[in-house]
Amino acid sequence: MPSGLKISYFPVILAILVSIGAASSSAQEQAANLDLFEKTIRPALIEHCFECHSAEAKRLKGGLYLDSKEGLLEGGDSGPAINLAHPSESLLLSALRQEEFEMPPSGKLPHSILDSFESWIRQGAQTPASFQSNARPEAKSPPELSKQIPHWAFEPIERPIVPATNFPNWTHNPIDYFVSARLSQHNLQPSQSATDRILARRSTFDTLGLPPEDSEFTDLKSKRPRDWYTAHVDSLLANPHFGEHWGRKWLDLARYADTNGVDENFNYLQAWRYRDYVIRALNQDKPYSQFLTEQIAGDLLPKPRSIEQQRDQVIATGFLTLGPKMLAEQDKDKLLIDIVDEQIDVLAKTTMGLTVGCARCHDHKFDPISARDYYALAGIFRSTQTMSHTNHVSFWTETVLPDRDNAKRRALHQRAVEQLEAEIEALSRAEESDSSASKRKKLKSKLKKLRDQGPDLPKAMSVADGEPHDLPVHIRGSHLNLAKTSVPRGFPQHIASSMRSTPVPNKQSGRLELANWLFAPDHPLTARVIANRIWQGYFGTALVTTPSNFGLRGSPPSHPKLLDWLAAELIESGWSLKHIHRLILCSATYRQASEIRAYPAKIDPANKLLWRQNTKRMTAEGVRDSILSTGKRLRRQIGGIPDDADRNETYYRGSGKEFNSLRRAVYLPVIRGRGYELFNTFDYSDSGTHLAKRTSTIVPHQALFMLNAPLVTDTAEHLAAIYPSAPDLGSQQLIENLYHRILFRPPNRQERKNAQRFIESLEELSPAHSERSSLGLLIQSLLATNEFIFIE
Amino acid sequence: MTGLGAVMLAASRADQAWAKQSPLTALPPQHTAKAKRIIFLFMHGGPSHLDTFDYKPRLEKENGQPLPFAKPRVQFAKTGNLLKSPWSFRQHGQSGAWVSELFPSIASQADHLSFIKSIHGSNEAHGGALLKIHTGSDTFVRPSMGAWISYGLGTENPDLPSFITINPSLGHGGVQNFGSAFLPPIHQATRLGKRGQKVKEISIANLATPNTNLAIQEAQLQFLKKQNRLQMDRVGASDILQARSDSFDLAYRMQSVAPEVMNVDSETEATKRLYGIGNESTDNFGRQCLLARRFASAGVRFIQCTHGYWDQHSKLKQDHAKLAQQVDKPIAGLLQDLRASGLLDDTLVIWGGEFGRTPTAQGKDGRDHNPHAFTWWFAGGGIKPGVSYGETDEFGYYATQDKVHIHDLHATILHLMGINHESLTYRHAGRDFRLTDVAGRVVHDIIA
Repeated sequence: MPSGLKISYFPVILAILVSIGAASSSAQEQAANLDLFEKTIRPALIEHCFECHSAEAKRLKGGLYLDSKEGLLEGGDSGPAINLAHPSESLLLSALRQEEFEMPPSGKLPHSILDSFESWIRQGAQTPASFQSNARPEAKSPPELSKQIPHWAFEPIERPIVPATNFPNWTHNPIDYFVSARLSQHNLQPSQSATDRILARRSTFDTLGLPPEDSEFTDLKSKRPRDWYTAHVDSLLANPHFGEHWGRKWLDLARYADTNGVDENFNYLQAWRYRDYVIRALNQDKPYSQFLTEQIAGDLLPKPRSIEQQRDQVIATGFLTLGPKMLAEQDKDKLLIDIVDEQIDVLAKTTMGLTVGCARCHDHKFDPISARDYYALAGIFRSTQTMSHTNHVSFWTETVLPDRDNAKRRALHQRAVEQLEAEIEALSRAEESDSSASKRKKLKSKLKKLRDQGPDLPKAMSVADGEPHDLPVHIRGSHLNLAKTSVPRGFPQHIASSMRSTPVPNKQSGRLELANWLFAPDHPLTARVIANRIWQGYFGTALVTTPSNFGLRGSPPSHPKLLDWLAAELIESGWSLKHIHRLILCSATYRQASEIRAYPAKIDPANKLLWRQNTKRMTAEGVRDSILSTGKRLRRQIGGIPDDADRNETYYRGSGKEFNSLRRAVYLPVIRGRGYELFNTFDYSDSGTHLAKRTSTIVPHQALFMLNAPLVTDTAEHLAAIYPSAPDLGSQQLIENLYHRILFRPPNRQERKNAQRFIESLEELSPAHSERSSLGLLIQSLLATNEFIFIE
Repeated sequence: MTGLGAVMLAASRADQAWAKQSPLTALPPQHTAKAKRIIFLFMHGGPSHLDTFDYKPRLEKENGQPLPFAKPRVQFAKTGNLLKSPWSFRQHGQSGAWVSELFPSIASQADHLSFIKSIHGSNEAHGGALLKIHTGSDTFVRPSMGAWISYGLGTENPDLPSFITINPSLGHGGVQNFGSAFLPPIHQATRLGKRGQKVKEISIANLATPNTNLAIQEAQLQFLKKQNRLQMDRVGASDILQARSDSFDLAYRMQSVAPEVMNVDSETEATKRLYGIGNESTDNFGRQCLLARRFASAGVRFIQCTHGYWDQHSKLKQDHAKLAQQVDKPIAGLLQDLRASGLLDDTLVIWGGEFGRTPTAQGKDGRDHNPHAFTWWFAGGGIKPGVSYGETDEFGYYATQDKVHIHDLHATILHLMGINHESLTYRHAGRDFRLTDVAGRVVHDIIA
């Protein structure tokens, strides 16, 4: 209820209540009641309540003022504190008795004081005229949403005019016009292109997450000397490793994991299908609109012809159900609403760069999301079935995938069941003996297990529509304190308002309408947010440096027009993500050298204006995959079940062996509650929440890893063994080869000398039978260099 | 180098020019405080307050009778009638603290302890309760208490991690209980072993060099340094590149310092005996405690020792006795040792579990989880010894008097470390986060 209404009704209510009080008590009684207030009630209120429930409270709790008569009668979020018509039903009494609320939180007041409160209210709750509010802050709720100051991210996207440039020979595409125009404003010049080798290494890492192959590079250069780079970009974008590298970034947003984490660390045995779906979709350049719609409402889309697409539409909804869930929470209503909250949080951050979660408890303090908006969304997800049951330990939903072999699998299972039944039957007909009885018991339990398991059909974690219903606002976010009326399912009212009144069908959850709303022509966020994320992948820093917070507390874009241009390009290309990738990769801005020049470094040390390319440290996955790939150990199989020893267990009980797999890191199981040590060391430590950006720290543990971890030492020795030994050791050619292999460039004179001397000193130090080879130690040292781990 | 520089800047408190420094540089506390470090003895599973420190004569008298008031709206399992404690209680020391016969050695230290008996949480399952105790939230992924303290105060010894956890459980929240969530990962705990692993066999990952000949590694480091220098000459020097080059020196030092600190066997026989090392039942936790003391004196900020599994839905008599015996002597030994060396003056020792247990029986010889009332005790840095704060009802089901929520515990612990819980914040996803969320009240009554 808007506060204006409350105020206008208030005097009327007060007048009625006062007259009731007056009618039922004599002047003498009133005086005694007032006396009780002054002697007992007021001191108790001051001592135990005012800290949180008065105008002086540092932070007012529950919207409740107990420092005035109006405050008591008007009450807070949960209703009036005292009820003069039915004194015993007063919320204040119930709270003090620690029934509905536990007040004061420090412990129950003595019985005598409780009794006093009761009789005081029963006798009319008299207070002196002075007990009234004076300097009360006017507005209880944030300024009305529609009247908020304009914010760039909520303005519609308009395709900006490409500006002129002072560097026409430098530019390759419109991105460069936007960037150089800003540079000129600050009297700065862009950097020249990096060398071809640096460019090849950088672009290969940025698209595939892997180092380039020397032979491919030299071949391409000799075949197409003039336009080798465009051809190189084409082949990168067509390479299936592209989906792995960029898919991993999406998996960060989608808080992907192979176990539940939190309280009961159950295996998500089917999660890998979602991981593969993401990789596949990005490789196919599935339009972003379709990619996202499938993840939000794939199950509600029309049934497609191809069986692969049918499967994808089920698997994609795994996005909504991969979050950590408190499976053993015994307050199942809380469990379900917490799941909804987690879904809304991840969805809004990922797609819109908005932190909607605040509105679970109150209107968002900064962004145009009200609590009503939140519960309109929550209704959609509460009408969605995420859990298959909520027994003591609850379980999520898994759906059987359409498959040509399903009938065969069912028949196979049926046959196995019948066979067992026949065996049991035969045994029970045979003569009774101890051994046959125990055998029968064993077979029976085997039969039960077989039946429970069901046929071995392909399944995916997914959601489906449940019983559609609207939710009331949960006051202060508590599922035990509900508003009286429900909020119709729908979308935030102040964003993309062209669709604000699109009705959600009675018989559906509304997820499909939600997905459509994200792609409404006037939706200001969807395109900007994803374009900004792609930019981050190529520059280390995004145009909006808070990629999952485009709200009023986020950072403004460094190049607002460039961001809008990219967003417009994305929409006009039919939401082709690869179109944006290609534009960025081909821009002169991207191709710049990363060397630090003194003058611009003084003007713009953080390189916000993009006068050079940034140097980026590899992510945890990059470190591992690059080491393995450089050492010729990486197994390049794309997709499939993770190499994992204990796939059939309910709980994750892995031994850690599954991390020894030589496949790319994206295929290692992501275990919540027990991260892979390498991931933790290199800043990927939390798979339980949406990750907008990996942090990048430098700590001695990382150095210890490079010095001592078997992954590094074994790989170095593995590569060393490939090269010729003894007579050629330390030869110029060998050193040259190693620098090419590891740093993707020839060594200079000084480096040759250093390497040679290093090998010589090792030969002196270490006896012939040392467990480490000199070559292996040189390889390991080069893997440990800054140049290997930072992409120029 | 954008991104990286920004992160390192954000990693330290508020807008100081930290870019050149490690995010673990020791920072001064916000107010004068005695405690400089914490040893947290975490009793996983939920030890029964009713059988250890919260004596309830009426529970004894009304054994077998129904609970005279309502049980909570949500319970983990069904329980029956009241069950008296199988152990007798006695008052100890000048303070007259009640301790049951489960803890004879800890009882002898009673005058150095301060109890909070009115702690209450909200989550009735282990996972949620562990997360609540360690991170303040059983709903969202949040940084752990140790990570917050590492973030707030850094470390006193750059050659060692700031936050170490010994034998933690990897279930029930797992690494989240000692993780850094959105704080920079450097603040997560370095884990030594896991539940059930012998302390003798645990180590820091990648600490042991595969090179038998250290001269080889030194030659390697020299070559590496030269190679990094050549690159910086070419691309321009930056703090980040320099810092990473230097981090190899740090690693090399850690490689020699940490094993020394972890060498419990270098202690005298008398010290080892004090901790119960050598005696089969107390050896493992004794080693944990002694290791904790050695880390504490080496300057580690937050050390957690986990012991379990105190979850006696049945076999209360047998298993609580066994578990208590495993920790009683080691803990008393730790307190004595810390006091003798003067370390107790600025080391805060905390003992407690994720919840208490019900006064009503589960089966004949068990108690269910009870997040509505439980006891922790504190000793050392900044604590007023001999205090018993807060009360539960006459049966010990609910905290009633001077209730202390888990947020209050966190606020108190941060206060003891010289940190105001309201100003230790981290900006993430558009707002400032705190260990205590929007709550927390410092329990001044236990503070000297």
